[in-house]
Amino acid sequence: MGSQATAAGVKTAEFRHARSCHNHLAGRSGVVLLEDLLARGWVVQERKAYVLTDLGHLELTRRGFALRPAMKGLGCTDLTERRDHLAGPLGRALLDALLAHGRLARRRSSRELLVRRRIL
Amino acid sequence: MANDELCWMSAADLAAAVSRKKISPVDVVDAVLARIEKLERLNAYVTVVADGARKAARAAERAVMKKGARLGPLHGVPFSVKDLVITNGVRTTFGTPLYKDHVPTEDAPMVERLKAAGAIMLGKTNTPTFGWIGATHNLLFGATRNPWNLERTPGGSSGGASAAVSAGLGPLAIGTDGGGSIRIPSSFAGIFGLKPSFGRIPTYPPSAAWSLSHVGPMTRTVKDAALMMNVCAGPDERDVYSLPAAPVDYVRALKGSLRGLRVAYSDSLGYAKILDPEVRAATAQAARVFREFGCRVEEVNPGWPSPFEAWRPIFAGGIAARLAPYLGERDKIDAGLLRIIDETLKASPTVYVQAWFDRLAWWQHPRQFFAKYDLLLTPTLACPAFKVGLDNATEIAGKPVPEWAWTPFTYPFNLTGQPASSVPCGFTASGLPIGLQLVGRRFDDVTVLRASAAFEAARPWAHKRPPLG
Repeated sequence: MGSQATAAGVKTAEFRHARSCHNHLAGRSGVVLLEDLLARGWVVQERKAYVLTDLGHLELTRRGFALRPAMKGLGCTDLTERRDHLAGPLGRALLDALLAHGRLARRRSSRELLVRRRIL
Repeated sequence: MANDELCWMSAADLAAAVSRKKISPVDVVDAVLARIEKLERLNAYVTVVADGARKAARAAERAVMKKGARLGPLHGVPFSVKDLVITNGVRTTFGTPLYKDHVPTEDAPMVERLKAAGAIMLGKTNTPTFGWIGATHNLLFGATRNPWNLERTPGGSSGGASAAVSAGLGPLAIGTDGGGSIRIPSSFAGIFGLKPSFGRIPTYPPSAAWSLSHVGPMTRTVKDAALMMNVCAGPDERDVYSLPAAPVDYVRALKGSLRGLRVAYSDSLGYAKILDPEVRAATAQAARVFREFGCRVEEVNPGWPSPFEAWRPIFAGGIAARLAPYLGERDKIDAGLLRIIDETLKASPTVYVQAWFDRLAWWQHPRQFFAKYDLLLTPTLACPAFKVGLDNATEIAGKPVPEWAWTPFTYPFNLTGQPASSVPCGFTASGLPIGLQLVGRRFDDVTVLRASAAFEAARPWAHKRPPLG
């Protein structure tokens, strides 16, 4: 298959799957990551914020993510999924860690991200 | 009868219906096992012994059909066991990856006695590592959720047990309590829980918090807990601190009068600083209900000093001693727990001994108080269930609070060994259960159970079911 059209309004499959948005993870992967964190009880919603729980801190630091306890993030409505992905300090720290671990890789000259390994 | 309805029957009703051949223990066990599977998302059970339970149920059914068979008082009734309590041939992890393949070769006394009474074990319920917090999550099985609100913790450390009982996943559960671990989850999940007098139900092997740790029933009704007490109370030679046999029928004792009982309600005990206003209102109102039974109810502030500095080194000391041999595997131990272990191992042994002196000295406060009162009522906890995944409540009524500030009322009675229960006494506006704690005199389990039963009769709760479908 050739390259997909990227005219206004038409996004590539890669763009929809994983991209950076103000230095946090967006796209389908970002939305699924937040759902997964909530389902595991690693992050809880406190009013408008998403907060890292003790269990979440424990499990993520065990996986080598450098995160502070009770770190907070914000919801950011995903452009292509129309649901929240995780932004704010926690969102940024998670993306930094995912890149540092090589689970995600940046592409040159685009916001799309390459998912190399299972995110969690 | 619809299968789900079997899951909501009390143990007393189940046992009666089974012995009269109205229902089959096989149907009961199948119904509860199906519901456990359907509600796997609660993560209440960490090990389900489906085959063993079905086999026991078939044997129970054969026994019912035999002419002249003598059936135990809990014949065919399913129960669950907290994963801190050992079970013969069934994995017992203590909630830690360090013991993930540990299979004991004998039953703890309470398990043994329930089985001997004809009850059928369904499996093991989740717990934090060695019961170290009042919430339920660990590195082996993750977090257990509150059936009333899946975003919340069911409390702990017997949180798998409270989630199971409140969700209709077995009417009887064995819990343990070293600082509140039966009463906390009972309060958060809207069920009844009893921490009997220390030694009333024998423990073996000793728990990590041995001198503080009690084992006891968690149920939807007070009568079911009394049934468990009838079957499980009494000495066992394996537990040198088990109490001598008492000639009491706990079920029959529920019917006694409370007239003239001197009842005190306190919402601070003298040292608790912060209390959720909804919890305060519901528990103060519940205390007034005892006037309907002919009790003399007074709201008091006993002015006790906090016994936390006596409790903490004794509780932490036991867990630290248990985990000290595993410090080479730090990644398998919860971070907050590691901090406690490290701190405890650094402290001089006299800190531990001093805590014991302080414990014995502190007893003189409740001793004098209970010379004047027969029963003490308090909120079980200072707040309703907090968010799942947190080790402690981080705020109460919108204000940030230090660790443990949310449970000022439970651990003192682990230090004294007095019997104490938690009864459901209402809900917050957002639908979270609230619990009232009842504390009795030393060895007076009967008054605690009788008062709990009277409150249940006046303000029943067991028909209220969490919104799970």
